[in-house]
Amino acid sequence: MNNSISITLVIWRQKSALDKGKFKKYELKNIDINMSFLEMFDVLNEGLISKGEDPVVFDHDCREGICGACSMYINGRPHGPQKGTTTCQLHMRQFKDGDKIVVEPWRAKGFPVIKDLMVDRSAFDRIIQAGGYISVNTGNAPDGNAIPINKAYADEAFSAAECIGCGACVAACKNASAMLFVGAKVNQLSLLPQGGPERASRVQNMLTQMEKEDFGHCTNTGSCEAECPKEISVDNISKLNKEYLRSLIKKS
Amino acid sequence: MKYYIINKYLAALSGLFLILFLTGHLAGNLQLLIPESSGAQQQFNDYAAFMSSNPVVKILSITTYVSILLHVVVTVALSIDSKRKRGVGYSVSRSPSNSISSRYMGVLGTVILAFIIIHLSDFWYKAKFEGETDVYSMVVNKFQNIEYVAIYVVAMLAIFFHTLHGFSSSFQSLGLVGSKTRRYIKICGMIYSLLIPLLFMLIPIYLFLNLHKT
Ligand code: HEM
Ligand code: FES
Repeated sequence: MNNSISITLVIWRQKSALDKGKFKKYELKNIDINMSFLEMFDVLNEGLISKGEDPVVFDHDCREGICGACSMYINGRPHGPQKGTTTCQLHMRQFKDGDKIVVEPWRAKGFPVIKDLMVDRSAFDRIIQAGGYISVNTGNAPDGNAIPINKAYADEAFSAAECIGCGACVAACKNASAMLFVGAKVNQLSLLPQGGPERASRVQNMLTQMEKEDFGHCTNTGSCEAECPKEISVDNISKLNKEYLRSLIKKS
Repeated sequence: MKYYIINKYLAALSGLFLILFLTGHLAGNLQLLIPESSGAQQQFNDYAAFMSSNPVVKILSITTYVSILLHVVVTVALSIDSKRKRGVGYSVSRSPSNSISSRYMGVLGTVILAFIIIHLSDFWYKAKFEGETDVYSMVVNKFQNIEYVAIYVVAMLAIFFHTLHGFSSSFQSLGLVGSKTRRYIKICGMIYSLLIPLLFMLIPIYLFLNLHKT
């Protein structure tokens, strides 16, 4: 059995935020199909470095699908063709010999390109800072089981908390909307008693920040859910809409 | 643009009102399917006279005009705003979505708006400002014209696709959908879109083929 393939990569190269950028073509031979997509990029970069060329800059950290750093728009889809996976968990066996693979950075006003495939996702951090927290007094660690939580709410909060903030929802959305991200981050807290006291201000502040960061509105197209590596449901957007309505009526 | 969500509430509420309006409008129009020999002309003209004099209908019709204006203003503003949010576009883009219509709401809406203008200037304007009282003959004669029938068919197809997404989308925008209800709302939206716009579409075809004369 032949375990290696040859591919043509078409990669977005951009020297800096101010550079206009352009696509560049790279041919790679003998790529082991058991490599992850990022390992394939490592091979590419080793080659470029040995030739004295600038390696392709891309974000990555955990390489085990939990940090959300590895943003790449592969063949027209965030994190490539496989459902529910980050780029680091995508393997070359998903591609065929002779495939042309186009790799672009996330494209959104809220995520400016820093270099090549690396974008600045700090807008998400600022949205979290605006309200994605609960305030607790310091002192002894509270007993984890002291506050009873309805199992259904706990489960929902847990699914929302799976969001790793990778930005695939924004990248896939035709309006570059961050509503799925904000929905998940609001709901994971607001569904729980601990999130109760700051409920109204949280949703308002996070949404205000979301608009300030230049993300678009939600047309309920659903590409976000389809592309989310953690398969966060668009139910979170419906809940976010309700949560905002609630905040206009009830102050906590 | 500030407060997307409030704008979406308005888009959804006005859209849902228009969905209700269309249902009522269709109920009235279905009287055009009555054979001419069974007194369709008299019945339809009486109905038209009632609609233009009843005070409750007056309030409903004002609500309809306000809804259309509000819907157009809000959705056009949202659509223009979101055009800027991508910045540099992708060279390849093929993410799946849960409805194709949702990508073309603006285009579909523009077709509907153009239609509303044609429709109002041809029937409503003539009845209201030119004192036409035989609305039945006016409608029936209009639809002897194939181009006119074609305009209606295209417009109803646009409404079909618009409500196919819009129906369920408005429940989502108002925060009224959950994991358990999503499927049912989607099915209701499909039934609505298949029933209302497509029945509307049959009327001009029916009149064109002179089926009311049989
Ligand atoms: C028969 C008349 C119409 C009906 C029943 C209708 C219904 C709806 C509904 C229910 C929605 C969903 C709202 C939401 O997502 O919450 C919607 C969205 C939309 N409508 Fe209409 N509409 C009509 C006419 C129009 C017209 C004349 C325009 C012209 C511009 C228009 C443009 C839009 C757009 C752009 C959206 C998407 C809004 C967004 O999600 O950003 N519609 N419509
Ligand atoms: S590198 Fe952490 S999720 Fe891919």
